[in-house]
Amino acid sequence: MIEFQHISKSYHGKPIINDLSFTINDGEFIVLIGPSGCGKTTTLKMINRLIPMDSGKILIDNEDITQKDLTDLRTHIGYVIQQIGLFPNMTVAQNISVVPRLLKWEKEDMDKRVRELLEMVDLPYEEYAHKYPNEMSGGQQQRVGVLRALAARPPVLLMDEPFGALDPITRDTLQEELKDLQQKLNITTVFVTHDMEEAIKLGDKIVFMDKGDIVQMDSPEEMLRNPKADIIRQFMGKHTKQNNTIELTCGEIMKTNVLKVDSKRKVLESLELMRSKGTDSVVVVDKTNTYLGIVNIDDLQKRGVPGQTIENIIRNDVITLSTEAHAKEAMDAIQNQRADFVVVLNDKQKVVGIITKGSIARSLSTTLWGENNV
Amino acid sequence: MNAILTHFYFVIISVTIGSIIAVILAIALSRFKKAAKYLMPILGIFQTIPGIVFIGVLFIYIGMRPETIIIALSVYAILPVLKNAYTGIVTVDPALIEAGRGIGMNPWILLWRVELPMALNSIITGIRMSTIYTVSWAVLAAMIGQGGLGEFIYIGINSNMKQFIVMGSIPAALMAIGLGFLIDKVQVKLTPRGLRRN
Ligand SMILES: Nc1ncnc2c1ncn2[C@@H]1O[C@H](COP(=O)(O)OP(=O)(O)O)[C@@H](O)[C@H]1O
Ligand SMILES: [Mg+2]
Repeated sequence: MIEFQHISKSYHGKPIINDLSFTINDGEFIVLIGPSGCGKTTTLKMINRLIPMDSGKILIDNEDITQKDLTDLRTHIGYVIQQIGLFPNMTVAQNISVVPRLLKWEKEDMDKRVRELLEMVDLPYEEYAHKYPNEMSGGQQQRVGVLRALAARPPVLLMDEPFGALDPITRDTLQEELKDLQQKLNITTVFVTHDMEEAIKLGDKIVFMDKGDIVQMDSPEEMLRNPKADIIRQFMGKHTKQNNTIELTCGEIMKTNVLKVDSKRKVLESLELMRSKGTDSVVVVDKTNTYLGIVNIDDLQKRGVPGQTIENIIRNDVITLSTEAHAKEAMDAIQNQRADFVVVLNDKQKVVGIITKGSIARSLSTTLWGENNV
Repeated sequence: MNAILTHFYFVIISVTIGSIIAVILAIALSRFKKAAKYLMPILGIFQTIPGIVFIGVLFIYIGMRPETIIIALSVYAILPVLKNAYTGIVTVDPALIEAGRGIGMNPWILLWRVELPMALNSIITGIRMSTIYTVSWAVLAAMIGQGGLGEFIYIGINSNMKQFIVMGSIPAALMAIGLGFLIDKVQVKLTPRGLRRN
């Protein structure tokens, strides 16, 4: 259990956090959300004492965190940041073993743990343990970032916009994985985001902050149904329409910022692009933006021949839908056929968007909220 | 042959001493970045004192001994390493420092496992520069009768015999090139795959 008791913090006389009090129960997934600069990161970092508070107390399992040995406190709290922060001079295995090493685990135990963890996120040990961070995509790197945080089985996990820099498809996959891991391990999680869709998808409870105050702390359902302030409504209702989900079309719920590559691109060039964008798969088009398929990073690494174009490893097993198709079709594809995403094409087979689990969560949330507020 | 060895020893010993001092100084300065802003230029002034003057002053205090040369050369070897090491350490991505601190590394562990390894490449580049400079400065050893390749050069200059000058400077040039090459090899060897630019 983590208890915030009357926590305040100011910088140069300017109050940043105002008398914050709330409790996080064991195994709960709490999402801190709010506009930029509202104090989310500050709140999070006070838990592992990266930022000292001015007044008040934070208790973890009834122990005042300021009374604990700093290393002891931090090695028992997992920490994941947006910039990933894997050590480039260490392999994946070494990165994951950092905290176990600090805790002086036996070598064999560390090895075993690395294997176990990599398996949990489908990164085969043989292939990935000895890779360096720069040899992996952004999505893979952040998977390892999460594993590093979980390595020594901390009871608490702190995450500061961990998926904020990833592309929508990869973000969705990692969100799913995180939620699974979190439930499996029953780890108390505090997660910062400014994306309501993500908050709804992940949180058991959402803490909405504004200007250093908690505006509302509720379950996602309750917050959707009864947002207590205009600012929360704005956060949820950016794309609000009085539409019923059934009547929405794919064109209305898709994301339009799709990462695309030309099929004439070379293998290495595409790998580089995917790494720099932190994505695990991209849509492949020809010169006229006509849809050809997708490539994913595993295929690129395993089957791609350096110097050749990516044409030979394009996959066609992704579901495509037209902009006019019912959103329900996309949901079915994703829920029943376990697709990570579907690609949306216009009537000339040009790529216009993609739909992920996230886009569906968002459209659901806006309709839900819309019904309550006409 | 003897002269080459003497010269070589002067270089190796001075660069080793200079580099160790430089790295320690760089670590210390990187903990006090504000002070470093003022201290670095002051240390730079040392570099501008001509070698002859510096050896001359040391000579007065220490006398005609190899230590005089070693001290002088070591001092000159410090700066390139210090500059590179300092830059290497302070330009480590703050996200790495934050991640390291956040998961429980104390400042020492952070230094050993993250900051120094990340700065290593830059440190070695500094050592390479120092080595090459020192090979040429070590010529000054002959000025106070401590041998080395400088001896031939002085004889050559004094007696106006070109072949002596060549006998001194060619091995010195080769030594500089050879050591530079060796250090490049070491650098490649010590850089983990994750830090190499492909
Ligand atoms: N070191 C600092 N010095 C001064 N002001 C700061 C510092 N760190 C954060 N702030 C201010 O505190 C406020 C809250 O910051 P932060 O917790 O990072 O916000 P969020 O994560 O919600 O975007 C912001 O207005 C920010 O400018
Ligand atoms: Mg923040």
